[in-house]
Amino acid sequence: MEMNLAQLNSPVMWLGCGLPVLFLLFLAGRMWKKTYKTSLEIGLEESQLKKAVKTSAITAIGPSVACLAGMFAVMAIMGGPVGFMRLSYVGNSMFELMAVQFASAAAGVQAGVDKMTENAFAASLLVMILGSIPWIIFGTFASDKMDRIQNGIVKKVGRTILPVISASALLGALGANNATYLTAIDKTTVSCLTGAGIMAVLCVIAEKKQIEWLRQWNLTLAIFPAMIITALL
Amino acid sequence: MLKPEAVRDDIYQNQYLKGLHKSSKIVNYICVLFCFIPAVLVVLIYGIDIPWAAVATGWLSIASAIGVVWFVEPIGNFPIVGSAGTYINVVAGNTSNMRIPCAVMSQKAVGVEPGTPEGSLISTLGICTSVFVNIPILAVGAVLSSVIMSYLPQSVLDAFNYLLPALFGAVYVQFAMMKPKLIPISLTLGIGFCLMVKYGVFSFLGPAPTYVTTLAGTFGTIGFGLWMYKKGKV
Repeated sequence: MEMNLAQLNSPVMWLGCGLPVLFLLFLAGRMWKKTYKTSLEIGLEESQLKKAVKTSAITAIGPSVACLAGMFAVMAIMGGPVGFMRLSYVGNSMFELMAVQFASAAAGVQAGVDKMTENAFAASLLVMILGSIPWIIFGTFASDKMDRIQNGIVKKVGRTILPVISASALLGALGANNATYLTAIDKTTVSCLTGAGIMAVLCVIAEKKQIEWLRQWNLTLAIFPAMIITALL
Repeated sequence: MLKPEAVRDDIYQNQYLKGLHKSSKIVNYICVLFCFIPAVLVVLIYGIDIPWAAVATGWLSIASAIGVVWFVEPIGNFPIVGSAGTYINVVAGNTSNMRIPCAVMSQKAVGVEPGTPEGSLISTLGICTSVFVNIPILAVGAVLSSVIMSYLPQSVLDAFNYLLPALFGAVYVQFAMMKPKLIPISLTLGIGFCLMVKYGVFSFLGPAPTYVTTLAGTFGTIGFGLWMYKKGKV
């Protein structure tokens, strides 16, 4: 049976999908407060904390708009409330769209091409949920264990090894992510390379001229021109 | 001024993390239950049946494509975000495209190193702050979605598809400039394994084992980074 996505725009559905998001805001607020207090206790200055908060807030703007674009894509297939919840809480657009594709295909529907059926919708929703909770379960279960392992490494080798491990892990994972676009040889390749190029220029200028605001805004300033240039090509 | 290292470690481990481990584990498992709310509502209110066979097939497909990332991502990000950051990160989502850039840029702005108590605290502040920015933007977008979708021309909506590749390219460069010696190996591994997956070299592992690229890229670069560290080159 064909899925009527408009029926999902009910207050109950919005409330149900909004509740976890509100809970996340509460958790983030609670952790923010505790972290801020502890940061002052270990001797970080209030001005440093304000700088960290400001930098993060500005850095988050560009990715949030990219996230918004991803949310619209998920909303078009899964309806408003589900799209909003999945992109605000636990998920990310790449994973959600992949989950919808796999689950819809298993229910005999090609997501984004065929009309969504009730079966394909329900399968997609469940796969989005069941495919993302292992992240929470593993991260939550392993957090204290990883802390103990890290402390062991620091005691044995010294703290200087940690920035090397974190930078290597980060660049390795991001390199793998970017490789998908770089090997696609289409407009996403252009967009990826243009974003990278603009960012490189902005980083060099910000470092050479010591422009603080450019350091904070560089991510947002790199991705929108890259998007526009790619779209115009 | 920062207190001595032993004092910082003591406050961080014994006052901050001790209570946080207990409470965060409980609330995060509650968050797992919250994930099911839309599915419960869809079944109870709209009477839609769950096609379990399609769910099992879809889940196996997504698990074989990205299952490794469930473990690699929290482990790989741990030295940057620490314990508290990991708890909030796994619930907030959008890790590599938003939380990690915010965490790293906050650390860089303050001048603290990842893996230290102050580095972990600053990155956690950064992640929590990104949640306060991200959710209102999405909420406004969700409320205005029907207006935005109907008034924006299709060409503009299509252009949004290029935002994510641009974001990943820009984030890569942002971090690569901190450790430029790792650029060749991370890109060679990423592109090399991506092409091998594309041309079916790993087809014996399943239809689309994209996790091979993530796995090889992440751990290969860590291995290379550690080798460079031992040689004193990074």
